[in-house]
Amino acid sequence: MSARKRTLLKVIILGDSGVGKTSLMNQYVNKKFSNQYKATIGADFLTKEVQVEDRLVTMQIWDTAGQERFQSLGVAFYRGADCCVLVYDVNVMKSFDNLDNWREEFLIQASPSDPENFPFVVLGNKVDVDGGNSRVVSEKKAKAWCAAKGGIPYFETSAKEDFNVDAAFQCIAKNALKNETEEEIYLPDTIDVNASRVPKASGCEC
Amino acid sequence: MIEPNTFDAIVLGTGLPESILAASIAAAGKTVLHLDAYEGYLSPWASPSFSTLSSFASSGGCLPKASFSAEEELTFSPEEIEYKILEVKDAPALYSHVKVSPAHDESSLGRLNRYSLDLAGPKVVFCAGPLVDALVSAQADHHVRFKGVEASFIWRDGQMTAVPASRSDVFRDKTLSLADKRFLMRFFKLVADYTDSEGGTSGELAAENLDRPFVEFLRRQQLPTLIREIILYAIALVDDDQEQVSDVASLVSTKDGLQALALYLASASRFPDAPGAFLYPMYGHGDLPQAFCRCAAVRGALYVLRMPVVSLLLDKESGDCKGVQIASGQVLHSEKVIASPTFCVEQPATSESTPTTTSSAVDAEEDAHLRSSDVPSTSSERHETGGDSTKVARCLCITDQSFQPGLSTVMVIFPPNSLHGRKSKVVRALQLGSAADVCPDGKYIVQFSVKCSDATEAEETLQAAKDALFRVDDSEDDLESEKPKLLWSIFFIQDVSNPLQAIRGLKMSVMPDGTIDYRSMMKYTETIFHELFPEKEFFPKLPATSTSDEGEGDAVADGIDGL
Repeated sequence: MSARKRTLLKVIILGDSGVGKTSLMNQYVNKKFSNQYKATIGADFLTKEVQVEDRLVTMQIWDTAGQERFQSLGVAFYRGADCCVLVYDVNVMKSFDNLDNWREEFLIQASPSDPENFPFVVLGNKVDVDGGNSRVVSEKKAKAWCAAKGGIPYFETSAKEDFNVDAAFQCIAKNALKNETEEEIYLPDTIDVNASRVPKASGCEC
Repeated sequence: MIEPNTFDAIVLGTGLPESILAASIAAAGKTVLHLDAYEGYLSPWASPSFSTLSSFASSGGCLPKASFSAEEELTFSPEEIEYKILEVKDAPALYSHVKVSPAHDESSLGRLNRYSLDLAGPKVVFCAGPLVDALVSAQADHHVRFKGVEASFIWRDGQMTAVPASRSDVFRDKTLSLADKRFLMRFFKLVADYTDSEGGTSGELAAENLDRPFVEFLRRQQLPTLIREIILYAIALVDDDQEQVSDVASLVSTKDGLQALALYLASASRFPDAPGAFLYPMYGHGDLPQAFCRCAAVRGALYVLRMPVVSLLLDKESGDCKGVQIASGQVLHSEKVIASPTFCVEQPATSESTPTTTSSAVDAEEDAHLRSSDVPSTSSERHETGGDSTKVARCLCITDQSFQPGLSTVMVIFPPNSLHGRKSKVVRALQLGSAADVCPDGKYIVQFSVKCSDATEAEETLQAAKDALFRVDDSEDDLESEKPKLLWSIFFIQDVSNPLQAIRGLKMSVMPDGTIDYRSMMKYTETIFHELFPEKEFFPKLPATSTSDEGEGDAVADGIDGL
């Protein structure tokens, strides 16, 4: 089979409101962090070119645009994802408990052809808060959950301090790419109605 | 609980017009709360799964509602309601006469979870039409990919004739006679002259002739019957019989006819990758509302699905819309509420269109104002639904092969009275395959629709259209056996009429109508937007980097040049 031209990877980030999904994306793509929390407005997706082994790929990271707050994401959002990132806040037990729901929701909505082997990556964010003293989910507990779900890669991150963010996304890109080659299927020709679109290096102003 | 509790607009239901309104209002910098009682963006505009459509059928035509459960986040202490409360109910019988012809063997349908079945089907999108423009201006375009409709055919005397999409198509066509080709070429030239002149033409196309019936104009061109039918029903997409007219209101004017032709020609040449003038959204039409909702969310609109609205709140004095109360008990404030036609709000008045409240009499001046503000939408609505046909019959079929070997996404037009000598309106059919990702490999979906006023007649008409395309069971005839086999089908009648609404600040959205494209829906949606936010632009134009926002005239001129 000839190599597929498309090297665009769709990555979606799920998790409870306020766990830092947008901050992680922003830190990774724009190297920016803001302490001010606002429910996500203004980010559709961010893109970043990534070198994975010998391939240069474009990673398109999709934010939930606040639609996760009342579980109001539609099937169209999940469709065609190459990797799903599950984020929780190590200081909030509920956000960890909800990982099960988010994973389930993804598998139902995206209905990947091989759900057993679909690449997830789990990020335990906000490890910087209060020097780690307010932490309620231990690394051991998180790793046990990941292992039970078929060995999901796990990273502890701090979007604020830019701790482990690059490493986590490098792993995300690698797994997304692995999924893509495995799922190499016939993609029928489709029409993009915005013929004038120029591929952007990063960001989307909408 | 939902925070904040006051919004510039509250939108109820996630049908396409409601979703476009949510996106356009959010794009205008206003705050929006978008509520839906259903799960997963289900609406009369959605493309439900096989199982959802099955429960729709077994309930006699009710969209299965999500069960409401008060989640932790929604708990709050109720506030006192100082408004007049109007109970919100489900609209009565939007669908009727639902009939399923089940598969003899369900395994013959393949993987059932691969199906997306358009409740509003058949529908297509004009490449140069207003929906594509709105998608691009809203920056919703990267959420939807399209498949080009590969070919259109017109059915006459038991045969299919290809509909030419462009001047080069006319040259290549093998079914048209040389004389027919000459007629068509001359006619396309005439349309080009008309669009170039921007209406300032003389002679045949002088202004005084433009209001006369389009069909008379075509007759004066001495076009052969087949060509006239192609132009009227397959290119201008007219739905009512123009030759034997029962209702003068259903006659299309020369001006409207020419505009439709210009749009068709502009559409045929808009995207180099599109084989013709029409597009079909990948995964079905249900992805369109989701794309607009995503855009609205990106611009700050708040989304709450599975949340029924229990009542509409009106000002006790003026009777104006003030907000809604949702199933959790919370009151949400907005002076502008847009409601899907799946909602039914009891009228505050006893008479049909006069808004009065029981608590206070509305003075005559107020009354007159309310009614006049409703005139534009009501009149355009009546215009679009075309005479008395306030219902549309739809049929979705699953078959085992394409009725046009080698082609997948194909449209067929059955012009008036073309089915076994039956008296019928225009029947439209659209075949979709796995290329559009709406069914498993090797299966096809064929959607049919016809405007109707009588259910039995409509069912018989659609049956005749199905017989034309599909194999009659157990036929010994060799010719018959080459046709696709019908594996499963659902038939239903859908209400198109839209309830009159006389509460200031409340706008009712529309059901999918009997047309095959989105022009009338877009027009209606834009009208509602301007009525609610007269000072704002409907999807402000993007900076010059985009080519999507040329005026219609430019787009049309481009289209003609491309021929």
